[in-house]
Amino acid sequence: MKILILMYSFIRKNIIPIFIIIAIMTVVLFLAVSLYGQYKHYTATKEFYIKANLKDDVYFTLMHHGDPEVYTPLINEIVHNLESYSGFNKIIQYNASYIGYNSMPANVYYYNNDMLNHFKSDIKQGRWLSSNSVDIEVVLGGSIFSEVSVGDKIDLGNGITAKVVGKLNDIFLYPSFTSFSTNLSSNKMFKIAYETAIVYINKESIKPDIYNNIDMTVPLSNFFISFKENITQTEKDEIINYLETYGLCNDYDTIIKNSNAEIDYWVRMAFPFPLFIITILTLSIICVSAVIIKRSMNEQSKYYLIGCTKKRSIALIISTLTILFSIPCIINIICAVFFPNFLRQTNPHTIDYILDISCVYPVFIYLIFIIAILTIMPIAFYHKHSPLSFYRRNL
Amino acid sequence: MINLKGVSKIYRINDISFHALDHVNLEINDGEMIAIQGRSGAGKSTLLHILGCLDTFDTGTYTLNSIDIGSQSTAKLAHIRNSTIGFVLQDFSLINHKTALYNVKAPMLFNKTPFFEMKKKAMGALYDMGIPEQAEKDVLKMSGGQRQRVAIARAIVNDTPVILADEPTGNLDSTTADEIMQIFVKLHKQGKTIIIVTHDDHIASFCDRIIKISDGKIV
Repeated sequence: MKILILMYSFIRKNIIPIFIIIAIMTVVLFLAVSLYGQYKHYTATKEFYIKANLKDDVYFTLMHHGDPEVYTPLINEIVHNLESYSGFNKIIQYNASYIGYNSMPANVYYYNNDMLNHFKSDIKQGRWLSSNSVDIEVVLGGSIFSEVSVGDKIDLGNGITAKVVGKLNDIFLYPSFTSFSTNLSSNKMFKIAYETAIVYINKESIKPDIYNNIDMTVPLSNFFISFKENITQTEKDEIINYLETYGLCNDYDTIIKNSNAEIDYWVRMAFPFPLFIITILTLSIICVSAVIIKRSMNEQSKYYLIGCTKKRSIALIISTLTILFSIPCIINIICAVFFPNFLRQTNPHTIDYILDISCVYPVFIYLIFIIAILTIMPIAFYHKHSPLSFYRRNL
Repeated sequence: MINLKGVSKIYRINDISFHALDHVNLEINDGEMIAIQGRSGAGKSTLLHILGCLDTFDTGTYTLNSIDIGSQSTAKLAHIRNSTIGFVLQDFSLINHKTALYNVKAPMLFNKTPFFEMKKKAMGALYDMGIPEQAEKDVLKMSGGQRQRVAIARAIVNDTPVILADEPTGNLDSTTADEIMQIFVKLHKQGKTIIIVTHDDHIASFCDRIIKISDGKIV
C-alpha cells in the first residue's frame, strides 16, 4: 500500500509527460508490431516450406498448365514414365474440387497421407487430420463454416458425410501448387489464406468407388518428386533431365535461396521508413523519460532525507515506469491478438500481416530495451549527483 | 549520545584538496540543545550532514547511540535517518504540491508503521505544532512559518530522539523565527536532542551550548 502511495505521487507529479510517453510508445509499438506482422507474412511461406521437411525432394512445375483436362493426362503420363526410373520413389501432390455450402463456394482439398504429414495447416480448434483414420474426417477453414463445430457431421455432397475434427486458424497456409515461375520461391508454391473457405479431407479414408464419382476432382499441375534413399547423383540427374522436358525442377536450396532474396528485397523496400520513425520516437521517449527522472530526483532527495535509500528510489522510479509502459504493450498485444483484422484494415497500403500471440516478442523486446535505458538513467543521475547534492542545490 | 572523534571531510576539486572538516572532536549528550555557529564556508553544514548520516567522512569515528556510523550500510543509515534523526532545513525541504498531511506522513512510508495508523500519527504531530486545520492544505499555499511547522511535524512524527536543524529560521521573519524557536525549546524540554546550525546569535541564545566552527575546526 505504501509503495502504491509513492508510485501515485510520482505519477501525479509527472502526469503530462507520462501521458505523452504512453501515447508515443503506443504508436511505436503499433509500428513495431506491424513490422513484425509484415515480416511474418514475408517469411511465412518459407517457414511453411522448411517445416514441410522436403529437403531431399525436388519441386516440379509443369510448363503447360491451365486447363485440367489438358494437363491431367500429361501428369499421368509423366508419373507413369517416372516409374521406370530406378531412383524414383513417388510424387507428393493433392487433388482439389469445389463444393457449395450455404450457397457459398469452398475449395475441397483431398490430401493423401504424404500431404497430411508434410503440410499441416495451423489449427484453431480440434486437431489436424489423422493419416490412419478409418472414418472420413475433415478440417474446415473460413467464416462460412462458423456455425459448424468440431465433432459435427457435415455433408460434402457426392454421398460423402464427414466428421469435423478441426478448424483452421483465421490465417493459415496451404500449398497452391499452380504457379509457374523461372525464379521459384516459396511464395509461389504456397499461399497465405485469410479466412478462405477450405475443406481438407483425408483422401485415403474415402472408398475408391465413392472417390472416383466425385465431380470435378482434379490434380494440381505442380508436385514434389520424392527419390529413393539410395539414389545416385547420375540417376537423379536423369530424372530431372526427363522432367525438364515438361517444365522446371527446383531443389530445396535453390527455392530457399530465391525465397531469401525475395524476403531481403521486401524488407529493404518496406522497413527503412517505419524503422526511422520508430528510432525517432524512441529517442523522444528517452528524452521525455530523462526529463521525468530528473524532475523526480528533487522529490527523491527529500525522501532520502527521511529514510529512503538510493536503491529504493531507483527501484520506485523503474517499477512505476515499467508498470506505466506496460499499458501500451498490453494495448498492442490485445489489438494484435484479438483484433488482427483491425490492424490490417487501418494500414493505408493494405499490407498483409500475420499477427498472433507471437507479437509479444517484439513488444517485450522493446519494453526490455526501454526499461534497460530507463534503469541506466537514474543510476547515472545518482552517480553524478548524490541526493545530498540535490538537497544542497536547493538551499 | 553523539560522539565524533577526529572526523575529517575532504573535498577534492581539480586535484585541489579542501578540508571542510578538520579532525573534529565533538560530544553531545542526550537531551542537549546546542547551536553550531560559524561563518559561511566554515563547515557547519558539512558537520550537520555527517551528523545526520547524509554524508560520509574521510577519517575519524562517529558514534550515534553507540552505533558506529562509519561502518553502517546505506540501508542501515537510511533506517537511522528515519528512526533516530529528524531534519528541519532552511528551505523546509517539503514535497511541493502535496498536502501538509502527506508531508508529515512521508517518513512513515519508509518504516513499519501500520498504514492505517499513519494518518492518526501525522495528525497528532500537526496538532502538536498547532496547525491541525492545515492538514489538507498544499504546502506551497502555506506561509513560511506554517511550512516550517510542517517540517518540524515531519521531523518528530517517528518520535526521533535527535533533531538537526540547518538555519531553520533563515527564511522567516523575526516573530515567526521566535515562535519556531519556542517549538524547539518545547521539544528540548520533552527530552529531544536539538542541534541547530545558525549564524544568528539571537537564535543561538536559545541553546544550552554554542559550538563555534571555523575553517573546519571547532574553536
